[in-house]
Amino acid sequence: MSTNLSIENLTVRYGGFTALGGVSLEVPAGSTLGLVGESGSGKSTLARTVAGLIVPDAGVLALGGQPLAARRTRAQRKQIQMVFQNPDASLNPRHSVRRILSEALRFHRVTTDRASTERRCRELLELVRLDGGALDRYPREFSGGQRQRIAIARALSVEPELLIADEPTSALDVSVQRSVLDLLGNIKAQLNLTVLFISHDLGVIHAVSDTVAVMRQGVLVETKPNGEFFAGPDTAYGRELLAAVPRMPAAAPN
Amino acid sequence: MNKRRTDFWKKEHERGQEADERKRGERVGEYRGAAAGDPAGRQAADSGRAAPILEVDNLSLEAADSGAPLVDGVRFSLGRGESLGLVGESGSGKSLTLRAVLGLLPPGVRRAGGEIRQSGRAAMVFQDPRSALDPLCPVVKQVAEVVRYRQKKNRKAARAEALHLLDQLGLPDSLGQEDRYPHQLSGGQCQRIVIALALACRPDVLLCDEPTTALDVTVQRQIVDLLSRLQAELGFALVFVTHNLAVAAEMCSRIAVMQRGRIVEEGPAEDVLTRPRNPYTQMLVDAVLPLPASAGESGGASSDREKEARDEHQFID
Amino acid sequence: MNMNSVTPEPAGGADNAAWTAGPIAGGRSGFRRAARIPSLVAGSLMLLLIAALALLIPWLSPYDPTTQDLASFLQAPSGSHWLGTDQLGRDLLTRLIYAARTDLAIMVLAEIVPFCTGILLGMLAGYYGGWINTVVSLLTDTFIAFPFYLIVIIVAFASGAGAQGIYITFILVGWIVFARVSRGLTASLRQREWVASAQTLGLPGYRILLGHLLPNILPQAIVVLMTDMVGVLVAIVTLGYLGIGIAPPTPDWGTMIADGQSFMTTAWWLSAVPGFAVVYMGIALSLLGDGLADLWRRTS
Repeated sequence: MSTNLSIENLTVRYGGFTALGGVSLEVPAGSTLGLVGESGSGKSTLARTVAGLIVPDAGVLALGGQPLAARRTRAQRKQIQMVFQNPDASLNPRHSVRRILSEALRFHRVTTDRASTERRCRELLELVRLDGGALDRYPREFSGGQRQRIAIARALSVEPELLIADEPTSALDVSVQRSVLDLLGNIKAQLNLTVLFISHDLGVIHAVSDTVAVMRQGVLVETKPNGEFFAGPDTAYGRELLAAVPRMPAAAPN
Repeated sequence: MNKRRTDFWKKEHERGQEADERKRGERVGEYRGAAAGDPAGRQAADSGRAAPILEVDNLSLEAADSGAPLVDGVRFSLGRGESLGLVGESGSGKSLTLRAVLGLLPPGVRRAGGEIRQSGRAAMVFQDPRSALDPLCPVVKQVAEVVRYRQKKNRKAARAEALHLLDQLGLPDSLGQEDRYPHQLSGGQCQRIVIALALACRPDVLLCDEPTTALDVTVQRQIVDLLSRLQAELGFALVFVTHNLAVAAEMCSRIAVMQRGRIVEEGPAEDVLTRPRNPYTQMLVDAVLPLPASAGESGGASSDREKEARDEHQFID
Repeated sequence: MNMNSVTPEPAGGADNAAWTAGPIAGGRSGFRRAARIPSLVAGSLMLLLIAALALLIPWLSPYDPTTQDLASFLQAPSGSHWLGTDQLGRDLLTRLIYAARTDLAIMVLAEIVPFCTGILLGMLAGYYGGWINTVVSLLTDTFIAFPFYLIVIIVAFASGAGAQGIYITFILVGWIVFARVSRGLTASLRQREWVASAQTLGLPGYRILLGHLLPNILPQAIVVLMTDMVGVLVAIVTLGYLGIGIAPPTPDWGTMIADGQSFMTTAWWLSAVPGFAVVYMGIALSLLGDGLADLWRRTS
């Protein structure tokens, strides 16, 4: 199943500060939108608003044509899930992996009895390539990359249609980053998810997204298909961002 | 930027170093002998440069309670004006090595062996500029204080020197009229202040621990450019710890790759990154997500100057 | 993106972790970890000792704590009365331990209600903010500015002698300490991403509060409980000393100190020994609190 997300004129203000100033975006079903911007650009606010953690001051959010109200229903909550940046803070330190994965399963009645919950938990771990023995362990026993896999498994437990990934690899080592990105790509294809992928790293954005959207100071600066954006952004800010990325020395011809 | 003043500062800086050098004349002789055996030393001889300013010889660090090795037999040497990038993933011991050079080992870590020979002053630039600054002290005052104690100047001269340093680092002149607290500055500006604090010690070696990791990519670009420019102007040696291979490639002439406490590969930056000999280095290089070669070539660089100007005159309140 | 290559990732152990906490030895049981914390071991042993004595005293001592034996009043410590006798000829050691029974039972009972209400109110205030936060903050600030012993004495007089004065006072004001701690902790934990992810999963507030936040707040609250219990004990003893606490002849450290005062020059131990008992409890609870804090800091 896949569903498109449409964001129309989304506005969030904190007191006098406008965190999001009328953002409109369209994420086609089954595609990945890469949202890039520097700190304070409002990209995380946008993610949290779409996830329903922040109630917008104005604007309309719709998933698959159905508008999402300020107070979401249980079913609507289930449709949109999020993976967060910090693997140290994204799992409750006092819950075992079994509890982390099964809590939402039971609450949303995805599974109804103990045996099917157990089976589903193991499937989820398999999906993120962790072994079933992880179930009885606690977050501190895992490395950053493994914790991020558990967080992904938790987000997938309720079978969402839209997955928001807010800098999911920024806190990870490069080698681990690559494997988590590969995993996300696999899962996206396998489950046909629509993905809103947020990162400040243009290399990551280039690798994962179909469309690139650039934000700055709460405003959407430009939106362009991946290839076209990296070939030449329309705006000066887009070019500035691209130029600022440090480059590896060109590989020697073989 | 006032060119004349910069030159004056530089000369003064060098005068200070000459005095130090006379004192260390004898020890320098030893370095040459000691360096002959290892690749770093050979390379130093190849480039025909003077004796190393910093030499880390077979440094080993371990956890104080369990004796688990954290850094194992690390050696490198660095001459005046040279730059070495220490790259590796978390837990590779790159930051610990840097701290050992500064003599600031964290509690629970002890030196198990090896030697650090240093013929000059070292100063450090930290990853998180905000936590490296005293939040309750205005920034010019902070810099002036360091100048006063490290360069033995009176209050007034120290303040003048501090303002000059800040000017050199591209911070706005308005700081001279109205001092600001760290929280009133942006992250990039804070990092410039931290660099100013380090330079106020007139270091012969500048140790940088992931100085751009906490910064936005455009600000990172400014800091990288700034450090390169200052190094060319002032001639200090640079040890640059980072997990970002591309930043290391831009900043450093040589790169040492660390894995689990050991240096697994060392050499000129371009060689290491384009023709890695070690499989771990190869893996790190492969893990970098590249941008298309042509990306952003059209006119991106031209806005550098205006970018810097904007950062200089914009305060975040 | 290459979908097939999964690079093996190195096991964790960030640079920072290696030197802030020291390498954490995995697989060691909680008990062995606890046994390595001296304050925890000492505090628990001290408490265990007094709890065992208090429980077993009817069988350990040949004397009754309340039966008077005027023939052998104010005896010095001896083989038959290890700590001597008081002015009514009762064995001091026996009374001391029976008093521990009374006082410690009241101490624990008096903390149950404030501990629960304090944590609950603090969590609600910290999690939801808004009016409930305003009310809780207002109450905590007001009560903190109010002299505690004035409240204790007023309530004790109003409710008559006995333990109920203590209970009522602590139900009224005892929760404040816990509310402050849990409110602060909740407000900071609420920013954690695991709370946001529980919200994203659609879990209702009560599940997040009880299932997610409470287990993270409880350890800290228990540490505070330990130090707060010392305060309760001192309050009980003070009321006893002032003659508005536990009614005689029930043994209580406060009344024992007060009674012994008249004989300070001839039998100083009558007051000193119960005084030491209070100090002993204070040290035991503080050590335990310290040790627990240490233990939980190491494990998380």
